[in-house]
Amino acid sequence: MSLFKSRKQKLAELEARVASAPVVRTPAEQAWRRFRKNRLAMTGAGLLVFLVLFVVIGSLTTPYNPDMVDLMSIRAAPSAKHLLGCDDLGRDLLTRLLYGGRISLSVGLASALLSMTLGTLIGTLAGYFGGWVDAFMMDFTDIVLTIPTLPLLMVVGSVFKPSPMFLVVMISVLNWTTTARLVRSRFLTLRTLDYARAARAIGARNGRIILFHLLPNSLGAIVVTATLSVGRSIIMESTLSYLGCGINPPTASWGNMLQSAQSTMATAPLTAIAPGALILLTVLAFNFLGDGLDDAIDPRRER
Amino acid sequence: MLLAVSIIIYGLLQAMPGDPLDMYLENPSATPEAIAAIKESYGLNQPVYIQYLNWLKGIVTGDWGRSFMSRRPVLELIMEKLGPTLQLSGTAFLIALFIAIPLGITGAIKKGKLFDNVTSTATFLGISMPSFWFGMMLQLLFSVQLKWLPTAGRTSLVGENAGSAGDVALHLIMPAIVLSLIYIASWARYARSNFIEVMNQDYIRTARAKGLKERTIFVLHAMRNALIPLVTVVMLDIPAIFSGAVVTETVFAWPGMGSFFNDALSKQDFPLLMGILMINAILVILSNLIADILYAVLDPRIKY
Repeated sequence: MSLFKSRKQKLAELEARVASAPVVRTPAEQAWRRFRKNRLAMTGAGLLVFLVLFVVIGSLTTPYNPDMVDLMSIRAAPSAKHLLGCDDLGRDLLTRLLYGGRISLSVGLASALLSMTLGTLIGTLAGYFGGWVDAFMMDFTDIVLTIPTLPLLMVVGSVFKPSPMFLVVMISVLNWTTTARLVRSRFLTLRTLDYARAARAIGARNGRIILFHLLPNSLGAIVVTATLSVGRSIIMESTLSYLGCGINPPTASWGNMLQSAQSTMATAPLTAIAPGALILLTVLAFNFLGDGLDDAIDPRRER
Repeated sequence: MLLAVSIIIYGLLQAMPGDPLDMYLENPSATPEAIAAIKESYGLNQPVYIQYLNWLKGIVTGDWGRSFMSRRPVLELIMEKLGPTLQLSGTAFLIALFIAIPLGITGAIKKGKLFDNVTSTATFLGISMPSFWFGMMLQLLFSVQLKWLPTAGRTSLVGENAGSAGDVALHLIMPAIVLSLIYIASWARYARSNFIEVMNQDYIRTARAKGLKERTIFVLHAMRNALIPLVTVVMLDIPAIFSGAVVTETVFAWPGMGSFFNDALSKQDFPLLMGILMINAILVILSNLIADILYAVLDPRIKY
């Protein structure tokens, strides 16, 4: 037996130690385990993956142009050629659903992302610096909250004939308030905790404390709010498009497809049923996901 | 507060491209001088901030300006349309309240049982539902397929009992259900989680330890504490019901402020739009105030 352990021995020892060590899970791992056990959240996530794949792959493989008018197949019933039939201009319904889905999903996701960013920024400033910054920011938030969102969006939308990008900005500018309040109240608590004070004591700058200490600890709650707000944004977009103040035809969105379906639904019910069912499914998926994430991230919560 | 909101809304509306007098440009008998005179009479040739100050003075003194469309006072026009909208949103509000709270409480009592699972799923569907589509589906089912209920409008146009209370009630059913759906769902969820939280409190455990009946605990100990936060949520949702009526009224062609707003929108009737938006903003602030007051009245722990 040599004095030094062979490489093999060392490795074996190491493996034994790893195997016998108590399982240590980071908070993220724990959250992931809780998330996977949460049936609601997994349903939401599964549904979402399916919907996104459906929309993306479908819109790339469909043989039809979503805006192509075909007078021969106006309000055609579902057939092998047009799986879900056609709308009042003879456009293939399934194709329009897929393209509309791309618009609706991306508008929803983008506005959630943008309003999350805006809200986090404002909430951070208010919660971290406190004092007059806080007072000013929160007064501003209250004012934005008082603006009647839907009617105002209708006014802006009907006048500017918004592009999808503009619509995203419009929705976000009025929807960041929830995140801002949430982040602010998180920061107010967090900044008094020992690790934040310790960081300040060793001379960390504000930016560092915010980015490396406070923000990561608020991230869970922010993500939950953002997920839930995707659903809200999709409903907002489709409502505006339905009222003719959102995405403008001929570009398809689930909302404006329903607008034209209002007159065709008696003769071609699928034109009215399908887009709405997809909106419902998508929003449901995001709400399931958000609720599940909420439970997974906060271990104290019991159902 | 209201002042700040009014400035923002006013500014945004002013930034709108297009001019309400554009419609006169196509009228050959409207000379440039005549258009200038019209602008003068509406005060449209003055700088924006003067217009705003004039308008503000009018709001305070009860003169909300005249509609560009019909030249009648805005306040008068709004008051005319207020009735049907109040009828619709009031009914929806009551429906939501009377369904949501029992639903939430029962869900909390039967937590984890079949009833709770079913209602939880249903309320999830409710908060995820695009209300206008729900309305269209109801129309499709009950009006087009079954022919039980009228599709749209507030009264029948023909028939012997057109315009009677029963006729209006029949027309009211679907819009009211559509408008109340999301509030049934969200209030029921809120009530349920509140009750569950309260039932885990120490004083409930104490009451149980004293041997009180579960029913007594519920009514005397839990009810009040669980419902107080709900009052706030309900109050804060009232303006949302009001503006949600815009969508519902459009789907069902209900002749209230919502469809009126849509109409004013397509005609760029600036004073009218401003008036309706202001009513909404005032409603938000009022309901905030009432929510705060009620909260303090109901919960003696809150002091201002």
